[in-house]
Amino acid sequence: MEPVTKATLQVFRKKLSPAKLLLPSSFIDANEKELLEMDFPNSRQEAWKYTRLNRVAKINLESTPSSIIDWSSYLMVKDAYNFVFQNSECIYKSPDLPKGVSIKIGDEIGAMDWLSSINEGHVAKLNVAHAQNGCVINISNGVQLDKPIQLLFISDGPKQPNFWRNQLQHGKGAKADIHVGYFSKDAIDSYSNVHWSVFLKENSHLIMTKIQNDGDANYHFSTENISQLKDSNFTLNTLTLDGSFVRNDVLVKVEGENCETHLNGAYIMKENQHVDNHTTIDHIFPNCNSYELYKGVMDDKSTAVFNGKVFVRPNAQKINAFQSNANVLLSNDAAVNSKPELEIYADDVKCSHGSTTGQLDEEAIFYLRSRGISEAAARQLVVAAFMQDVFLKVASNELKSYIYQQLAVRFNLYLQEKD
Amino acid sequence: MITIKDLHASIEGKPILKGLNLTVKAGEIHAIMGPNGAGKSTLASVLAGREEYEITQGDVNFNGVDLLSLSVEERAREGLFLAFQYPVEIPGVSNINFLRTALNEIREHKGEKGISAKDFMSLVREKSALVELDSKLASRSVNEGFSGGEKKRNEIFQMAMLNPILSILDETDSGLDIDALRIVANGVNQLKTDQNATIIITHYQRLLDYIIPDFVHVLYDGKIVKSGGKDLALELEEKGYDWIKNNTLN
Repeated sequence: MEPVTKATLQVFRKKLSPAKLLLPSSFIDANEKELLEMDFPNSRQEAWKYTRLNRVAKINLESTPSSIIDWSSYLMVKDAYNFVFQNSECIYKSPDLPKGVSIKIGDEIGAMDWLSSINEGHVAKLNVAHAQNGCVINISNGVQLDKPIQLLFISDGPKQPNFWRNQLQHGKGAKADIHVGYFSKDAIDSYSNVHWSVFLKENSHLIMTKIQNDGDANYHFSTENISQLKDSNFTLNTLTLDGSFVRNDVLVKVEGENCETHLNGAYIMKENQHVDNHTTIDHIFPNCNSYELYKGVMDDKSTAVFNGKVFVRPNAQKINAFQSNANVLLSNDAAVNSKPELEIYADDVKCSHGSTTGQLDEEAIFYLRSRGISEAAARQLVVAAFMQDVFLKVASNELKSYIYQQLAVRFNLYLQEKD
Repeated sequence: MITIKDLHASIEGKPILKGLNLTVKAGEIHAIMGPNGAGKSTLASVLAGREEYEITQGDVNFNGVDLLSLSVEERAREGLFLAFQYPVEIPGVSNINFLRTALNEIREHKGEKGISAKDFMSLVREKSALVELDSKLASRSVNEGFSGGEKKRNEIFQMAMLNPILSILDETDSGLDIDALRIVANGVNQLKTDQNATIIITHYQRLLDYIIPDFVHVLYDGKIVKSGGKDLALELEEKGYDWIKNNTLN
């Protein structure tokens, strides 16, 4: 395979617009210079060992005019505070928000609104350089949301580049559910790069569920940097239902005592699709718990990467950190690279990790069919059962039924194709 | 109801059934006995549609249809039921949810309307009582964490729910203690009508004390070598399978 040269990243950027969002100088200053010295990482770099970017590097991005879409058809739940982005435009803003919640969009956001941020690696740096739109959410101390905030990001058109940048500041004792959905329409070699910085203040509760339901021709890069202060409780559910190429980089810095962190993930891939979940939980303070559960179902020639890092710093005693990654391969050509990485520098901790990869239980499918259930339905039941413990972590029943519905659609379509 | 003619089946090129003939009519109970390796479970598997087996010869007529041309699920929808020798544990799939899906697919096949949740639940209560299966078990994951006896009772519970016209009980008695055996047999007896039929596959005569067969067949080396009434089972128990082996060889 030919090596990707520095020129490739510059060629890739040639037709991209500079950032439209006003970002602080601390983000921008060194960014451009560093980008010029950088290139797409190759497989010699550990974090990209199993994720080849040659395909991405070759695409010719160019913004095309957006079409008229019925965004309501993309809604995952009915009753929510909705915000909809279509390419670089925000096409819908919820007219009302509860007291104590502010959401700034696009040019409403000033440079001062952005808190500190880690922008390492080419994905985050590209996001700084080309951020077109996004939101800054502030939830005040003590606010408990009555319904979720639902954000839809729709990539529209072929070769469409999208750079969205968002921030959420979650006040002391606040409680919220955020649903984020990523979709694409008429994509051919399109590219989405979305960046989130999330700050949880003391004693706050936040559940963030992201549904990645991109079509078959979109490259999706998602970065989440989370900071948790003491007594906070954070859940991130990453559900990758469809997408030709998906990379998730999640970094949680646990910067206070008595925190809880839950990272749950499910991915269902087929054909030549690729999904890569890189997670890092950095335990800096003692007396915290983290739980990580990622499950995948892989068919055809699809590939998955799971890389779960857990750091326990020297003073972070009494940490419980549990991590598990389980996969089912539906074909002989599918592959999973699963790599847990635990770095523990404290001596009074409880940490565990496990990784399994196996096949769907054909005996179970025969059993269900022998009761009159069609093969398609039997496979769907067994796959859903395998994924169930991840889906059960999605607290919202409405969102859960959306997921099951998408799964049903996916499996029926899919089995028809195969016949 | 079912006519099996000159059935030959093999697995991985090895012949197991070598010309089996059997006719079962509505209202009848047939017992098929035989030593280990005679082909008893193969017969059950072939009738249910397990794909590992290759049918090399013969045909099976089930209520006017060519059974061997149907998929596993189509056979079930036509009214065939197999009670598994080793019921499968399926974590995460709820027993009653899957049964409702199955029942509705069978009803749809017959051109009937789907069952309402309320009617379904009362059916669950009625049928689980039949095999003394705790209704809590009915709502758990399929067979997960069930004891051996509970698994077999769950098979008969499913049979009661789906109301098949031909049930094949594959070694349903194996591993059961006498109480569980009595419960299972009692369930099967209560489900008996003159419209349906049962094939009991067993190694032991014991089950036949509780479920009285109309016919007993001895399967040996892939063929039925002897048929008779219920007394044949007693004779077999007394003389052992060597008696058959020696007779066949001579």
